[in-house]
Amino acid sequence: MTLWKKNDIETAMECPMTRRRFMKWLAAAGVAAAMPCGFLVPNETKAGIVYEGGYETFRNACPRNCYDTCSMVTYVKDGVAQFVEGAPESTFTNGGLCVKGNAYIRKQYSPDRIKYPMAQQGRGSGNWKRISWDEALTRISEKFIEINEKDESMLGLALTKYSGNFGITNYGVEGMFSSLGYTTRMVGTPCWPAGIDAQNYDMGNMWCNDPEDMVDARYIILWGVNPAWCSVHTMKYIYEARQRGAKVVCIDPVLTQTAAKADEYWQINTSEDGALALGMARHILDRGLVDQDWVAANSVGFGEFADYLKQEVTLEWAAEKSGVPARRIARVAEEFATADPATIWIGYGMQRHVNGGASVRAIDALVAMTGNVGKAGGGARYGHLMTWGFNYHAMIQQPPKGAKGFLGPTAKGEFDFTKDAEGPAYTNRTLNINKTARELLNATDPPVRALWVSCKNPLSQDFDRNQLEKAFKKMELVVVVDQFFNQTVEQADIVLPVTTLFEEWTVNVGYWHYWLSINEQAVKPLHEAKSNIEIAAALSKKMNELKPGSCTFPTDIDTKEWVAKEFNKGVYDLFGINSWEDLKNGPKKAKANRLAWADGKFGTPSGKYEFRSDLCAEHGFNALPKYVEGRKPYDKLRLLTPHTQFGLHSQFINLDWMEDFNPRPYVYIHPETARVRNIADGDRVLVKNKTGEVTITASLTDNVPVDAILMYEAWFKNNPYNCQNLVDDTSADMGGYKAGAPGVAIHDQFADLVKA
Amino acid sequence: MKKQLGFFVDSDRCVGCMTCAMACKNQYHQEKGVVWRRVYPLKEEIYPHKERAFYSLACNHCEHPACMHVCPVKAYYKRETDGVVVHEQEKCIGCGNCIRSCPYGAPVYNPVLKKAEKCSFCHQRLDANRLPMCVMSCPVDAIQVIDITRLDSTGLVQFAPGFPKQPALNPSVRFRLPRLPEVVRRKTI
Amino acid sequence: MDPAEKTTLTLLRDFFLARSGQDLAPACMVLAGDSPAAARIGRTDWDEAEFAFNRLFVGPMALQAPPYASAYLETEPRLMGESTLKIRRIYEMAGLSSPLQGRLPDDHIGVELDAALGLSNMAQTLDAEEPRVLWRYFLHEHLSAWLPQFIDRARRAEAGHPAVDLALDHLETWLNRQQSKEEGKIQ
Repeated sequence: MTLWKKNDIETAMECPMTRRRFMKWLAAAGVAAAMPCGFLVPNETKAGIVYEGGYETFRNACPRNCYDTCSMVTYVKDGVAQFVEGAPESTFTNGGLCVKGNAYIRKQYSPDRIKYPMAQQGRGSGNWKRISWDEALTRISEKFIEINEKDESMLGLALTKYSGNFGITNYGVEGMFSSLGYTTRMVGTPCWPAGIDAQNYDMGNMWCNDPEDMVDARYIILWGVNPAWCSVHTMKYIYEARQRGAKVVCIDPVLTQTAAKADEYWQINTSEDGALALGMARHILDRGLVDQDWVAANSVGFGEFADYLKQEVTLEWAAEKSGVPARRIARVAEEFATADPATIWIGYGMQRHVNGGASVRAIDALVAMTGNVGKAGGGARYGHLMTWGFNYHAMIQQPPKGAKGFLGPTAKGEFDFTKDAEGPAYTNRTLNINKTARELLNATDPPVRALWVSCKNPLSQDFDRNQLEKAFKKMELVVVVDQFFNQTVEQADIVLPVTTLFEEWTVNVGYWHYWLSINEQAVKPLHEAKSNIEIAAALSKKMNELKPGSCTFPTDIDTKEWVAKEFNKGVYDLFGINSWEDLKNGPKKAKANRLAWADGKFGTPSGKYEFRSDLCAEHGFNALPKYVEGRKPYDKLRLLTPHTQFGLHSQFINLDWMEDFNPRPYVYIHPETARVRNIADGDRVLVKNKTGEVTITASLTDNVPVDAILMYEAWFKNNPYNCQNLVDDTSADMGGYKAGAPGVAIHDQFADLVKA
Repeated sequence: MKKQLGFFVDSDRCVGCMTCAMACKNQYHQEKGVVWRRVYPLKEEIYPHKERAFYSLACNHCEHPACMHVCPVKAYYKRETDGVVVHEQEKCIGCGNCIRSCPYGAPVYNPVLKKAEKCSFCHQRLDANRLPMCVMSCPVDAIQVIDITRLDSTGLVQFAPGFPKQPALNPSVRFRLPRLPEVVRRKTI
Repeated sequence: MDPAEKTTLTLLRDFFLARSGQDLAPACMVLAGDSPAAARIGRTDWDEAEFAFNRLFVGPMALQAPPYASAYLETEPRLMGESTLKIRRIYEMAGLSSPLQGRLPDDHIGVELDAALGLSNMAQTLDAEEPRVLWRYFLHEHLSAWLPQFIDRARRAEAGHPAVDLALDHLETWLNRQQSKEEGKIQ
């Protein structure tokens, strides 16, 4: 008889050969005889081919709301994701991820993940009971049916969902709601709507060149955008352009990491971007540097715009408004107008103002009048949705027969690619997502009774947090679908665990680059997590069990098949593939559409670039891209709450890997601002305004202007920090046209601070 | 001269995004608090804008590694083929000599295993013809693998400001220093 | 293991795999028996016990005492780590596997206590060297390596509860007795 030693056991755990030798005893003893366990079962795994030491690889795509939407490769061993890399086939991702993407393994296997459906006894009490999926869905369905019986519609049921997961099948959440009947939807976006509308007025769509063509630019202005943190894969193209001789100018209220890599940085007075752009435009006009041929052939209304500039704009006025010296404005205006091609990247930060849309229109005009629209290496770059032509199979669902809904005006989000239905009088009731708190509180007839939260963490991301807490209290049922116990889950009645990118099938495209990636299921869902469409199917099954015909969502779905159903010939042709399965060999880049407006055929009513937009005037704004005043300060210092490099909204920052590099939040204060308040570096300070307050550690830096303070939007684990305590829900000017609701003036906030 | 691999730290390109440091964790799953590669912000005396220029540093795989010389149990060796300094953790007794003697703070203490550990230059990846994870992951090519013996070092420095000057160890690292943008500030208030 | 110890182990397994307060109650009642703790356990509000149990071991908030071996044995507290996979191999070597493999980590305490039941039984009843070696390895090299840390962390956690303490006490006693009974570590 072999005498097995400790070492042998350890070797056997590592080495399949030894293990097999060890296991010979099983055949002799007879396994069944030895079955006293209540949980474990006889091992029936067949001896398949195992490449010991090797990894299986899977294709994934980062589904976060990010310019870069990276194509990933996941290395799996023993059914466990071990590490990730960027897909080498994508020239954009180029084999590397970012600090967030490299933390995904930690996100997947964090002991902190939400594991089971659970119900809280008393919102915010922390008293949670584990319940089965069946019980969770029964409770939810019963409530939905009760609402329907009470109100004779499903309008008491509201959905708030945005960008937590941009995988296309996740639009099945909207599909689930449509399949229940006519419901209440939070519509709009806190992100980019003012700029979308501005570009639609000017050009007839939001459309920008492939960022990879920035290498051909001879002049690059990075205007209110911080790619060094928020689109780190684009930086290499900016560097390459610079190496080929381009000048890079960065305009931002904050000396960002991107500013530090520019040739020239302008610390602009926040929200005066329009004045600055118009000052440059006036100077270009005065110097005769307008591209007259392009303007004559491709635009309307330039004469009126030129008259406006001559009558109401001067270089000195622009200098005074923006804080940038007139001679600087003049020089960069001349350089920009004479470089060929020249481009401006318009960031989302600069349009989160009450005059944000107007400012984007002024910048668009600057690019157009110099003939840089429609050129490789040129363009007014903002974003695009040219690669999003999926079937939206998961999203498009029909209401049950006889469903009643809302009669009145409704809005549509920018990612809502469904066609407007013909005929039916009933619709969903739409509420402004940027005013979630007050809309939930004020909705009547019927009131909002139940709220479903998915791909979103409203209590960390939505505005006027104090009001939002009140709105949550008013709900009869709050269901939150999430992965971690964030501030919204704290206020839920029922939480449902949702899959990570490694655990579900889906497909992803970006709104900046032109790549298409498949997202394969790389590992089994941990614990009891389900994907959003699986949740929808399970809910539908339960609804129909309790009340036949109450939900049209298919009850038995194969998530892989559902990915296939998102594809069509248009997508295949655009990306030059024969089948979606081709994407298993790597991501693909669009073959067309990568050069915006090259043919001079614009999507505006006139078919031209519209310096004068009557549609814009019809919507209540100026027809010309005129200067619009910013918001009047309501406190001593401007408060900026932009994105951090360590997270995407409220994801990633809570992970302990990330805490190694970003352990706590700070408020960044100019040393002079701190000095007069007797605040030293590292002090605890109380930041306060009319909306609320935040206690936080001070970090002194002259990267921020003397009249502003800055804190990054974030959700930290074990830390009550929330910048939305200080941000009200004042709207940006534009956004209602294409995004369903105006944007929100996130950077038009004010506050003061004292030593805590 | 034999091959000596090292890191080229291009602070002119580096945006301090910490991708390299996290990529290392992605590959090796170090304990919380144990970090092999760090992205150090430069002090304001060296670069005037706070937290806007960085050195990404891990083990420098020195020609004459202090860690190797002070280790009482020969847990360190230097690879003949490429000069990579490897720490064999199973031999380590956790005495801390290497941690105290490295001027660059490369070996760090793992409080769970009660042993030292450090950047391996991903030598297993190198042997499989793959770049080290930090280098592969850098989105702006700000850290690169170089062979010190065959390097055109024009414009590069070995002892960048703030980086401990230890010529006797001859660290296998070269730097390019960060640029300074022309800064136009408002003269408000 | 004598029959009483097996019963204890079965109850502990059921306790840690409990899905609700209703599952906790019977396990705790039997564990308490006619000990001085019995009266107190009899008066337990099982909802309260469940809330504490979930704060410690289930969620949805970050766990105060994760009931997974890898959270203590890995150099970083993660799930599905190397140590989890080693445990999967031990089960395999005993001809066993978890029906929830890949979903519930193989080293969840409930699964491991079930494995302990199985392995010790095989060691006792089968005429083979391998199960005996395997059981002693599992006990001395694995369970003994993490259960004391787990018990300690759970006891010191904020969300304590008498019912949880009762189970932890029994778990500790059971482990100590096995350690002293089994002929010492294997070589």
